[in-house]
Amino acid sequence: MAGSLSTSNSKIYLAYKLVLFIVILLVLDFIGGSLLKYLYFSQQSGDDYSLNYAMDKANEDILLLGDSRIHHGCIPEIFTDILGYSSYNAARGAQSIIFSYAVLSAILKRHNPKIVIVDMPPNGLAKRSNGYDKLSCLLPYYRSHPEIRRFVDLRGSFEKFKLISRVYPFNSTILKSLKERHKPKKDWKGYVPRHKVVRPDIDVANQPADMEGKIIADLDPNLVEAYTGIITKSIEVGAKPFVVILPRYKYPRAELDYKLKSYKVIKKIAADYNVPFWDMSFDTLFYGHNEYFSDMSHFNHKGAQLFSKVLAEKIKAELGDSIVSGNTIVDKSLPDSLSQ
Amino acid sequence: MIITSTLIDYTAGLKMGQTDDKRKRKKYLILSLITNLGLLGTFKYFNFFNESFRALFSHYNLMLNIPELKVLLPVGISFYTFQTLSYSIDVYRGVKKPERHLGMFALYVSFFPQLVAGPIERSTRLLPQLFEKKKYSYENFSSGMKQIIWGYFKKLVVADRLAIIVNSVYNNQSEHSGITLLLATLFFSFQVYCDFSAYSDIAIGSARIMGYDLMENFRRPFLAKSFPEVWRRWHISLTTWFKDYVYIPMGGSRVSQSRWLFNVIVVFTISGLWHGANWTFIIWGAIHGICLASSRVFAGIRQWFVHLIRLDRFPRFHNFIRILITFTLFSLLAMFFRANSLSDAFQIAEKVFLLKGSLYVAQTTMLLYGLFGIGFLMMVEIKQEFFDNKFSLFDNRIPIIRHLSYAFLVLIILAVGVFDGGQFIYFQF
Repeated sequence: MAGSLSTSNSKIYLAYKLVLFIVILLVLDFIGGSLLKYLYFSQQSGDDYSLNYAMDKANEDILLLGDSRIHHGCIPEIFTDILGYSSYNAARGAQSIIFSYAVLSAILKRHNPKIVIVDMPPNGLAKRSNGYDKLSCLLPYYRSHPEIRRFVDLRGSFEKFKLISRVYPFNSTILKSLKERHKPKKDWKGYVPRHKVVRPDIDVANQPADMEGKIIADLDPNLVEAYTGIITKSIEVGAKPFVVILPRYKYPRAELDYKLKSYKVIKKIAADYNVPFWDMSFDTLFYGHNEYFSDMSHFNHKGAQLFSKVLAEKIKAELGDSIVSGNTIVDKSLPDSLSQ
Repeated sequence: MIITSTLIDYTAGLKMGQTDDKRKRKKYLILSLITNLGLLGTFKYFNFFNESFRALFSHYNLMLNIPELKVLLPVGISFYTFQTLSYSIDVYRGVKKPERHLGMFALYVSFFPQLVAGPIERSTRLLPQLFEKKKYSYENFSSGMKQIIWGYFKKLVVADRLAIIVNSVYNNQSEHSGITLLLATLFFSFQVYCDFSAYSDIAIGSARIMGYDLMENFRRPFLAKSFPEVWRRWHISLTTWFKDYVYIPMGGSRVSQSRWLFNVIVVFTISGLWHGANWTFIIWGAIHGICLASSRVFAGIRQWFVHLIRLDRFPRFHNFIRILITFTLFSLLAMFFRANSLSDAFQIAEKVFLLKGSLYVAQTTMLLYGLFGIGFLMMVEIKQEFFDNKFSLFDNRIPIIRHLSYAFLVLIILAVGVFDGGQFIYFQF
């Protein structure tokens, strides 16, 4: 075949074959991508369904943002009952604050919430060993949400090229999509309950906690920017942000927590913008009470019920009259640069 | 490092070529051996031996205060050291004429597709190709690209997916049951095979596109029917290296049985040490040597038993059983390769053999993706091994079917591959 062709003819033959292959690939990619997209967006429950709701539909007054701790720790219905505002839990497990900022950016494009509650783990601004891999859950929204592209691009310089494919944004979603489509679970407005109760005798010393390493860990400027961005953007649209560190069951070498560079910066930025910062890590109502936790740092459903009530009451007390009147909550201490 | 190795071996080669005096030639060979093995020993093994001796001394209440060497292990040092050593030995033996062109010799040592993780090429095979004028060839381009796509499939769909499961289990082995550890161990054997052979596929494919033919490094090792056969199919470039430059000079198989047993076990123990500076690798290599030796020692008994239970009447079923046993044994030994320490390895071995507890799967979807990757891979390899001319999709005579098959393979990579930038395991060697 091509072996009998001259070099120039062979090159033309290669070009023809390449074009043919690329056309076939693009057609299959389009068909496969469309199918995966359909499956992904027709999920009835689960993380991706919640993310889809948050990105495209959420119009609640209270938004809960953060990682798995708030995802399993705050029940929107309780916030609604106590504060009188509709609420949605847009947190997601194993995510950094960049994810929360991306979701908030998408929501703010079409809706202004009144209250934004952010859970910040004490080392939440430190550089992560896995970089920005987990932001892959935002890939399905890359084409439709230009405001999140800069966050997804953090995953790597080849990301833009990979995203030429229609299949790639839905990488590793097919089984989950099929499962959530055919066996949907109850929707708790983003909240996911855990029912396990942590063993009271769990050995704290066995918990991995490279605290010394974390104390000196460099801050990730992108995480700092995202955290600051959540606060400033919320203030800009008239929402009241709250920064919370959720309680834990037990915590090894707790005294080191306060030495974290990340912790200090989280606290300082909140203070700079006059945003309430509540470190409830060692709240005696929860700390050491295994009946409220599913593991060392995540609430179970019982704990989430109590914590949501406590946090909502605390916010109610902080807001005072503005809750009753239902007026837009404006932070009077908005820095000059943002109020102009 | 690589420049030092290159210059020493280039000079040693030239000097060996200038004289017929065997003693002088030997001197230059020793210079090459000391330089290369010295660099490898210093960078890769110094801290390991230092630590081992310190532990041994402290056992007898003696102090050994040699400070730790704080250096980074140069990437690919084990591979290019062996590649350049093979040149020196071949020149000494007169198998290869010394290379006079320094640039070409340097290119042979640092040929980029296989520099960091092999295949370990011989000078007799690669050097002449470097002088050939390369012409563009459609066949080379096409087959090279196909091999690269297969490499990416193995790496991203199989190896990196299984790595998530294997790492989560092996890094918390004390928390897991025997059955979970067994599954993780079986997965690890697929992971390491796919990870390493993927790199070889990408290296061979890249070289072929440029017109260079690198040696085959893996030939469906999990379909081998015996332990010796596994090693004729697994990391072929390293196995043949050890055979040509260590095993045969030790006498090979033309010695007494006890000496032969000794040779095999020593060669495999050294091969284990080559893989990494840890007792886990040494034990892994030694056990492989013992298994290989046992395979020959007990060959007669095995044949008698097969005849006794009349298994030889059903050759296909017999072969299937042989493949299954070989694969199981090979995979189980991989626990020494993967375990973080020797004590971990023994704990894992104990749990696996007692098979206590129930299977724990953190994410079912992860398991299913992993099984899909293994299933797809084995389907293709079984087809290649036993049905070479049947059911062809990737080698179909009709071009459109071939194109569709490879396009589908790319889509599988995009749909279920793991794109988190995982490194190749053999980069650490």
